[in-house]
Amino acid sequence: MMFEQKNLIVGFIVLIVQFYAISTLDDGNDGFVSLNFEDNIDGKFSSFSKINIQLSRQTETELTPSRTISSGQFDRLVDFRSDYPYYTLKVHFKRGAIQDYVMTSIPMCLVLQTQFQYTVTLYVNENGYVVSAQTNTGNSTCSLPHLSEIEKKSEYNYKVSMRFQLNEIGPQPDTQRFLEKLKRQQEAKLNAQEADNRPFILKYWKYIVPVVIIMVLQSAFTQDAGGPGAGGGNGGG
Amino acid sequence: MTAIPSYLYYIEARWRKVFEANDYGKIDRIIWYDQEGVIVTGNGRRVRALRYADGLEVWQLAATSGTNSNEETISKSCQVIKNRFDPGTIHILNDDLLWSVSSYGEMLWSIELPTKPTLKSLFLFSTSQYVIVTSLDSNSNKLQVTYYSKQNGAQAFSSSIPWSFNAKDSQSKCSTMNNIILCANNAELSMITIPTTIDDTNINTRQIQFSNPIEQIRVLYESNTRSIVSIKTDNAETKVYQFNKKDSTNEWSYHELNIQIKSNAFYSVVSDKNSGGQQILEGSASQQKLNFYLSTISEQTLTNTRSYSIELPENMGDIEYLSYSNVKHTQFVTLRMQDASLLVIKLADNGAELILHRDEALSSIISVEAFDLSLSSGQMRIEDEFGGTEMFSMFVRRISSQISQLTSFVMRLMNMFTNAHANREYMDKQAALVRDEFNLNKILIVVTSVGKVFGILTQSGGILWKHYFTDFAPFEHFNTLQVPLFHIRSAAHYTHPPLASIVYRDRNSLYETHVRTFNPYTGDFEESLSTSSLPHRIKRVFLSTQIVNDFCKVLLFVDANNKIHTYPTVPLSRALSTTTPTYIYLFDKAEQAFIGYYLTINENEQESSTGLKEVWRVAFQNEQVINIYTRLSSDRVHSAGIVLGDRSVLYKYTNPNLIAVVTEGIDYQKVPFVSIYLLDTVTGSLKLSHTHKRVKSPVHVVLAENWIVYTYYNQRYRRYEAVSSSLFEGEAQYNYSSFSSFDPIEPVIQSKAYILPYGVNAIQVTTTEKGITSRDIIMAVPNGMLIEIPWMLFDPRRPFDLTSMDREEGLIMYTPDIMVNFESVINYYKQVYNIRGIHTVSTGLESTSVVFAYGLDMFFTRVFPSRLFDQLKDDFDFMFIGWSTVAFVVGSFIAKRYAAIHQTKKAWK
Repeated sequence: MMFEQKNLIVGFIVLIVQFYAISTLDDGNDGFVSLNFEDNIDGKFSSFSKINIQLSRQTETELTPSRTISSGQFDRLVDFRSDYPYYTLKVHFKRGAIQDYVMTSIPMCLVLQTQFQYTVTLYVNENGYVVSAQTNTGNSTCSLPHLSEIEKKSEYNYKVSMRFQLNEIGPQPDTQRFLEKLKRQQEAKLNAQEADNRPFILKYWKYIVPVVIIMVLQSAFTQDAGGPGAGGGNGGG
Repeated sequence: MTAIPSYLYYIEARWRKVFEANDYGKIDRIIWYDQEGVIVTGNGRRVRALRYADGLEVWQLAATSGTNSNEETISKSCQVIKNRFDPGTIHILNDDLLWSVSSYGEMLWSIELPTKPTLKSLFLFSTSQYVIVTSLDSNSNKLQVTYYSKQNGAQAFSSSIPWSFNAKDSQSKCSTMNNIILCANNAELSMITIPTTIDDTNINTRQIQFSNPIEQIRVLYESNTRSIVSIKTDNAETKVYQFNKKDSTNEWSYHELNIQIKSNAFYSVVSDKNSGGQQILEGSASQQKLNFYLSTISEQTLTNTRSYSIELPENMGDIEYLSYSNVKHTQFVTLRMQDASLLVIKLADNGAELILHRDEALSSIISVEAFDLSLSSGQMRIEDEFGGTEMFSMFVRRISSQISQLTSFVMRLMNMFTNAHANREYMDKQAALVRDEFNLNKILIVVTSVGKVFGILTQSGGILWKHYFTDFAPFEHFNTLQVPLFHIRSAAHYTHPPLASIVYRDRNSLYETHVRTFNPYTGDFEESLSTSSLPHRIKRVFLSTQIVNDFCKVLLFVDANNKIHTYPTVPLSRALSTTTPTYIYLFDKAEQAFIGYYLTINENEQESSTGLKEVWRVAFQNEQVINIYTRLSSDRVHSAGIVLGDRSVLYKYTNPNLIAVVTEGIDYQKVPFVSIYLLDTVTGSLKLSHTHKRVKSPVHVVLAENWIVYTYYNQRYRRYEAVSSSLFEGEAQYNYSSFSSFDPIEPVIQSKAYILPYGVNAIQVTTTEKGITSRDIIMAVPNGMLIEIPWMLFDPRRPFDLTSMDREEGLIMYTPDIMVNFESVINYYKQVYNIRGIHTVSTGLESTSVVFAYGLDMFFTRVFPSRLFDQLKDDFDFMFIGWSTVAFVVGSFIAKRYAAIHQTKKAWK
């Protein structure tokens, strides 16, 4: 009877835990998000990679490109003398019923220099939606003459790695650690006092010895100088 | 409701009482008794009595109601009446609570009314036995009339009548008077008489027809037997009706008074104790003049009309509120003008006399800018003294400039003697002409939300000039009001006076934008740089980076189609630098997204407008952006790094393109949170993102150099906290000569949180000329103090355990709370309340920063964050150093003589 009851309780707890796990998965912070990456190398935005991924701080993944850049396209971009020399990355995201997009730009020249190899950081807010994107090619300067020195290929492949940057929980006043430190200091003080359990003589010999010496000397002097002192007194009288 | 600001003045400001800065301090109604005034605030939730003689709060009562939990849903309507038959009892009705208070501070009873979304309490009436609440049932379109006992609040009776208005119209188009509801229904005035006893259940409705639609109904006077109402129609015609109660019945008769009405006139009616009749005062403003007509009402006409007129010292716009009172045969008129001026005018046989004028507009400052005073001609010519090539010309130059310096000195001395007894205004005018030695004295230009602009001299706090813009309306910027105020030309261009521009919307048509440019020293307009209508709807305005004509910068506007325009019209390539690219960001409120644009400028292009190209977008889903903060334009970074204890350097990440974005939201566990982001406005990337859970706004942010400090209210621990974060590049600097947002730097962030001892109304950081002086945070707290806290106490690098290296660097050990020393209160006992903003400006002395705090009060002072290191102290002993110099000179002469004698004697030996 007892055993059965216990089993029932355990089963119930397991059920609750399971339910909790499901519910957190359902609308929790670690849901899936579908991303669609577009860029403007053809003068208009077109997709080059799509991914369906779980939000996590550790995620660092290589995007699998759905298209490549032909040498013709590449040469045209190198010759790009437009008033808009930017490589713009547009990231569409969809999570649950909500979809939106974020954008970021860097000078086109930087992307050409690394032959479309860069990292994308997606900033994710508290509710798991992408707020902002950042591209990084590892360099901030480039020059057109350098570009022409790049070895010619028949086609260039995207080599884009992506990671998520989740919102950090803001710092809290660290009272706990401060109080612990105070407690530790106090304990250290107390310990210092308690540790001194030497015998009385050993502890206070510094004070005892001079007193003893003075007493010994005093008694010695009173014995020795008793006569002359008394004599002087007499002489004075 | 009377819109008196949240404080009261005795006519010579003998006392004042500051109410709460939040909704609880908002005055709903004041009931004036003989000795005390009873003030109902906070949507009928707080009642208090103030004694006129000394401002003492005699008693205070707060409504005990269980609806505090859903504060959001409380609508902003509240009715307060004094019982007509028992003047010592006040009845207060807000949406769900009806309570009665006696004039001596006793809560008589309070009852909660049934709350239904379809039921809305509208009007409140009183009789000798009942308190009558009428509420609109929007389901059945009926007005429920419920009678509550005046003694104990018990519900006695209820009836209902058909009602044709919705809740909003009922509040805006209807007024009450005795037991009558007056409603404007297009060109028809409905009079609904509510029966005052249970026996009489006959609800009487009558109509008065007008030729034009009714715009406004205003009850001027009401007593138990007589009421006077003014009715304004949309053709600017006003009629005044007198209502008389028929004896012993519930019926009212009415007739129109025969008054010649001015279109913009205001009326105030008081009962004349001598004759038992009523006196009516008509007041109207025309330009800078106020006209009054005081008459006695007798039957249908006015008799004994006397007229008064008074010239006002400045243009104050129209009258907003007028009240006439007759105290012991002295007649006073109290007015609030459109520019928020408070006027008290005494009417006497020999004419009207202005006895009080206060610029209450100064309590609603929204923009502040400080202007340096211009150099004097002597100071300007100091360079000329050492010019020239030939010996003779050099000599002549030098002598002539020194003679001119001498004459100006003599002139100044003469001026000082001849005007020794001159008043402050004159002294201010003189001081405003030239810059002082250390550029400590400035002119503050403040723009108020009512449209009055003031020029204030900081040396004395005196108002040099003021101007009221009658067509003014401010812009809205993240739930706050804003008026862009720019330095068009600085004081650095001698012979050209400095110029300031403000940009505001038109009061009547909100899409029309005005630009006004004026000289900040005198307030004189520069008509060639002012316009009353820009031809486009503007989204954002900013200042050019380049100087264009006559050392002036131009204004750039982003219009609704994302095109850039300049005012005055110049080619964009002249207004903006063509070598450094220009980026602009705009905020889309509907999508809660920031969008960054790149501005293309063609050097040969002569056009003054160009399109923007979208380069980045930052979207805040499920979050609401509540405010953004930028660095002060005067922010200077003196050193690129911090020298650590081991002599290595930690480089600061000083990105000039960062803005701080504060958002609010609710997470998936229904916990409210506040997020703070540092957004790079060139790439649209985030450099910092902090989320704080169970935290409430207001969030105050200071962004400077490589750090951010923000404060918020922690709901969990019920305390105010501050978080300080610093951004570093690390041990090596990516590029020591220049900064680019495209640099691949991942800043290292260090953060610490601290507990604040007080709440925060506003925070700001001190600014100095070169940024060498250490920084202090100036914090305005609700109890009226302005506290100066060294930034060192907020330093996120404060260690838990202090090592010798930290000591070498000068760090302080971490303590979770920021201790406020009372010596760091910079306003001593001159408390300033409800501060909304703090403005800091650098001076000519590196050690000194000036601080201007504004809100309900204003305060200005100088602060020295690193003490006075570049100036002698006030108690420096000049006499001692002078006398010792003299003594040394004399001594050396004597010694020289003795030495000579000694030498001679030695030679003779």
